[in-house]
Amino acid sequence: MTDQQEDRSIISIMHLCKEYPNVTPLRDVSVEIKKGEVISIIGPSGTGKSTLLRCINLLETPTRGVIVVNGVIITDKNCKVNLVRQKMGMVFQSFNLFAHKTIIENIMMGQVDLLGRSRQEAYDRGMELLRTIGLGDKALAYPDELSGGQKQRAAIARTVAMEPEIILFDEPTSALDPTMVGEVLSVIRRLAGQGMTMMIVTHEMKFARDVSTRIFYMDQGEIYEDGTPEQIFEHPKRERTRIFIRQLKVLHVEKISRDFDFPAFMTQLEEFGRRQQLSQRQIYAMQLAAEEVLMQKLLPAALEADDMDISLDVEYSERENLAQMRFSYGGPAFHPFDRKEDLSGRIIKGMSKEMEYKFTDGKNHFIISI
Amino acid sequence: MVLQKRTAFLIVVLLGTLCLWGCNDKENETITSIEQLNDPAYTIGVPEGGAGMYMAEKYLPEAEHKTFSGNASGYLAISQGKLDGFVYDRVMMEFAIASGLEDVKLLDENLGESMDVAVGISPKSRIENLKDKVNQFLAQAKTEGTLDEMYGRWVSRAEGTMPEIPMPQTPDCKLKVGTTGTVQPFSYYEGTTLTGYDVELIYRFGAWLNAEVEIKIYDYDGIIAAAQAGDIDCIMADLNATEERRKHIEFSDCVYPSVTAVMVRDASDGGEKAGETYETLSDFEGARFAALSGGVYDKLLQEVIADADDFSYYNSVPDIVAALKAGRVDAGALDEPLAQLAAAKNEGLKIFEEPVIRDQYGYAFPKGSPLKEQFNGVIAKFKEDGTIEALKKKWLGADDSVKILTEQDWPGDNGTIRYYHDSTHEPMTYLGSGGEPLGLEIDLMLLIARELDFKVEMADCEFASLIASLESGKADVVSGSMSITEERAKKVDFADTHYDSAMVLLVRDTDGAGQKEGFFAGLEDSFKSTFVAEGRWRLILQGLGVTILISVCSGIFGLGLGFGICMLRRMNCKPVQYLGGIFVRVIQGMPIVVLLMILYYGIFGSVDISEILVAVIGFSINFAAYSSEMMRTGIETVDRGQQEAALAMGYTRSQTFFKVVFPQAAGNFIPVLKGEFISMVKMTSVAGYIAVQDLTKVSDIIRSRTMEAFFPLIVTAVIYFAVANVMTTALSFAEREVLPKRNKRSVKGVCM
Amino acid sequence: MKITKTQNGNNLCLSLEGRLDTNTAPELETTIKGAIDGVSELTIDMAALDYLSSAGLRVLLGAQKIMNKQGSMRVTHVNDTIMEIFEVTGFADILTIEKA
Repeated sequence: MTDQQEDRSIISIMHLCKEYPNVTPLRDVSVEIKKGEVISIIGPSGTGKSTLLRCINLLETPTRGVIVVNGVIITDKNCKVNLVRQKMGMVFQSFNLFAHKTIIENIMMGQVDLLGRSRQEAYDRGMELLRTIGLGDKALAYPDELSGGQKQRAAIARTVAMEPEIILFDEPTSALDPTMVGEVLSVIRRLAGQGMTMMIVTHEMKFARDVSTRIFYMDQGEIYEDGTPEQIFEHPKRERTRIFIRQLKVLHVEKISRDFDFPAFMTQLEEFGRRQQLSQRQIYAMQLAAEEVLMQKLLPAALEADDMDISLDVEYSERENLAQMRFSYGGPAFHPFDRKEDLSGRIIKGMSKEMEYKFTDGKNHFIISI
Repeated sequence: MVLQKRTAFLIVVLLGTLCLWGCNDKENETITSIEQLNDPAYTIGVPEGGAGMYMAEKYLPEAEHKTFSGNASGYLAISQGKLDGFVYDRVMMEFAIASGLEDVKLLDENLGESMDVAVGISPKSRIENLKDKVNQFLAQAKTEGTLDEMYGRWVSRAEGTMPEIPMPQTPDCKLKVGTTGTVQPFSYYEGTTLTGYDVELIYRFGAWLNAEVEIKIYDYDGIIAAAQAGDIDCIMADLNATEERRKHIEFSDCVYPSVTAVMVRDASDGGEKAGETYETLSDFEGARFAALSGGVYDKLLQEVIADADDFSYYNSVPDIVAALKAGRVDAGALDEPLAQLAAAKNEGLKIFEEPVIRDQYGYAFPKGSPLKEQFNGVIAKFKEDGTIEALKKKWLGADDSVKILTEQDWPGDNGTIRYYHDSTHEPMTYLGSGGEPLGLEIDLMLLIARELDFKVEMADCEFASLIASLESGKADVVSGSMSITEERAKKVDFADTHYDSAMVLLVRDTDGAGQKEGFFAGLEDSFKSTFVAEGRWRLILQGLGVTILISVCSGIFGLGLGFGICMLRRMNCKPVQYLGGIFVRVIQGMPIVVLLMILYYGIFGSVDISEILVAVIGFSINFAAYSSEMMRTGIETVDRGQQEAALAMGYTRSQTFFKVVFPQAAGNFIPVLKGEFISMVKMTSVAGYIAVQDLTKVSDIIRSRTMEAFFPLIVTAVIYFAVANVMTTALSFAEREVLPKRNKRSVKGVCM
Repeated sequence: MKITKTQNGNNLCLSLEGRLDTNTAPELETTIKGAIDGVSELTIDMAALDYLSSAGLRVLLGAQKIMNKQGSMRVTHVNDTIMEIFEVTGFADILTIEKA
């Protein structure tokens, strides 16, 4: 991905800690970040990913610890923070464009006020950037006239115009409609391709894998595991990492009962499938399988028996390109599709690769592979 | 929907009941004695804080009392039927009636005992022994007869002239005197000048004391407080020395004793207006007459018509015409030629057929002049051949364009006649707009001269001197609407009369046309008396200027102060934030009137400071409290994310505030601020409480002179409306300049 | 799921939009039962249909049986995945399917 990787730390973080009265998002973080690295920060919610980013550009003040950026100790009291920040760019989840200025003026503002460029120069550079990302014709529009994806791309352009040394992305696509995520990711991809040093907090796993040179898995206020994308996603070394990665690939639902929110589950399946980048047909087949097994067979049977304790695991293996749906349920042993001529059974049979039934340890297991 | 209709119906019924209840038929009972009024069924009006209030409480305790802040409102309330009686100084009320207040009369009895009118003395005055000095001055003035002379001039004869009083050249102290400016004839405004009995007294005392005089205007309620606080040294405003007032300030010796009378409605005139039919002169008994001032019409009229004592005096015939049209008088007593002119020029007026007193005009000659017989011959001829009739048509008609004298284009071989004439008797002998002599008699003289082939040399002189000029030989013949009387005939010879005249009554032509004129003529009347008379429009302009000055200054300072407070509250220091919050809370919870009075009488009480400055300070503080809140809200609605983005880019906190937050906040609060500003402009109408002469106070002053309520108030409202609208438009214009335009087609300062 | 009825004399066309699953199938059944009297040609337009499960198949089967007695029925604008379902279940032979 990156052409040049100089062996030079541009950011050094030593024993960074951030405490609030009732919660401590960052316990102890120490790490070196080199020029040209593209680091994705992943992990469960509330584990300090955003806080880490916001401490680096001092939007949050660290409780303890030292951060050095390009040789400047920015955590020092006498440090001119605003000058340091001019070398760092940040892209926010909620875009944060200046609502009272047009797009091109948003991009010109920082260049003119902070970098001292002439308005003409700022304008020209800004228009060039806008054209590159496909927003040339929106230059004179106001932010509230743009879609979410367009706003975020404009925000990225605003940051790039300042020619920073590193850009921090704080969940750049989390507030976007799924249809617009792609356009923003492609802009970020291109920036990475141009050698920009970046730190991205994201939930888009496939993207993180594709674009990053390094992954931080953060858990419980510290960088739990730090490695290349292959290392983290394929061979996670530590326990919690493994659980997390695994959970990415597994959808687990328990205690399915009569009050089950079926439409919501259909959406969950769809999201899961999209995250794993499954095909539309594969997602359809999964939904069918869930509907036919649960709605048509198991739940009607559960009405008679008291509590069948139904649970479902959906796991996708990329290597084999196989999505496995494992249904487990209590009660007497019975195969959901006994009768050969059963319509539901025929559908599933037709849409899946394999079906397996077994009864072990007093529990029924029905496995469909798609 | 049904509910709304029902509610509306109920409200209408409620209002209707209240109206009917208010229009109680108390009108039917005529009030003839004071004791009658001492009954809970009657409502008595009393002046706020005045002697009348004190008397009414003491002698009419049973009746219901309503307080009024001035005599004008009291008179109005009586005529509108809101009061059954109004208690006030007798002299003032007589003066009001003489000036044209109608449908009211005074009960003969006085209410209570007479109470001294005296000079109020401030206990905090810096002038030593002021009270003794005032008493000395008064004693001197009394012995010299000055006070009596002043009383006669201002009150008894209503002459309204202020004599020249020399101002001290090197004053050795400053005397601040408070007065009201709303009480004719004691202290009132003629145009823009303050004048009156009390005002003259002020200047005289100032001269006597060798002090520099400064006069300040207050309402009666405020004037006592002002003296108490030491804002003024003394009060000369027709002030009764009541016991209540003596508790707060001191009084000099009595200036003159005042008597309290009771005004009631006079219902007897009500019927005259509609369906008036006068058949004979005796029908005019009890009617209201108008006459030119300075004549003896009233005496003459009374010899012919009984009970003709209701006279109003006017300065000019047009004024009488206006009064007739408006229905303020029933008949104007005028010389016939003048009446002819008026009737010709004014539709809706006519001359009552029966003349009051007949009269004949004639040319006068020195005793034994030969011209007399010659004139008689020509006059007889002209009467027969219609020349005189033609002259009458020419000079007594409405068309002024034909009124030019005959040219002297004959040889004049028989000599020259020296003809002296008076020039104030339109249409007989008068001066045109360019100063040239005009008139029927002059024209007739020229025609006679042509007949007799004389040239005429004309000169004008005072009527009183005409006869003398004959006797001294300066003139050969004189004229000037001169009536042929026995008295005069002893001194001069008269030619046969050329004009049969009379004193006639000019009345409304009740064929319907006259009545209709009533409203619009009345409106025109109101307009003239509010704006034109005595140049009152200048006073209004002054008041308007003060209102605008206070509004604009308070707006600017208030905005600045509000911004400051808003910034203070955003600072990180907790106590400062807290203090700012308290300030805003307190000011928002205080009525502006109270704030102004606290500033004027309290905080700046002992400081010699301009009232307008105090008003500006007060309104600025008020505006600041509201605008700081609006700014704060406007700022808070700007989302924090944008601030973070700016900081993350490397902007400092203050750069972020001024480049990102404030412009957007301004877009939020400027529209609201506009409304607050207009509100404040209207609020300035209470500045009169601290002696500021703003538009409202000026309209008050005018009202007290014209005794009219409706017109001045409507005019004031219209002016405020206009001012508010102009300012709103101006602010909108400014708003568009300051806030960014949304339809941007270009970027500033770049080639695109 | 949204069902749009278009009636042209004896021809009834039902356009389906959304998902035809266990929850929405009863609605389609009721609609068909209520409008099918006197219809000689029934068209089910699936252009906007995203999803079809066994519940939907059963309703279609019921409708086909009725229409076999009083006229004809066809299913139009079927997408690939739904077509696959028709094929693996053998419904491709029971129903008259027009892909276009």
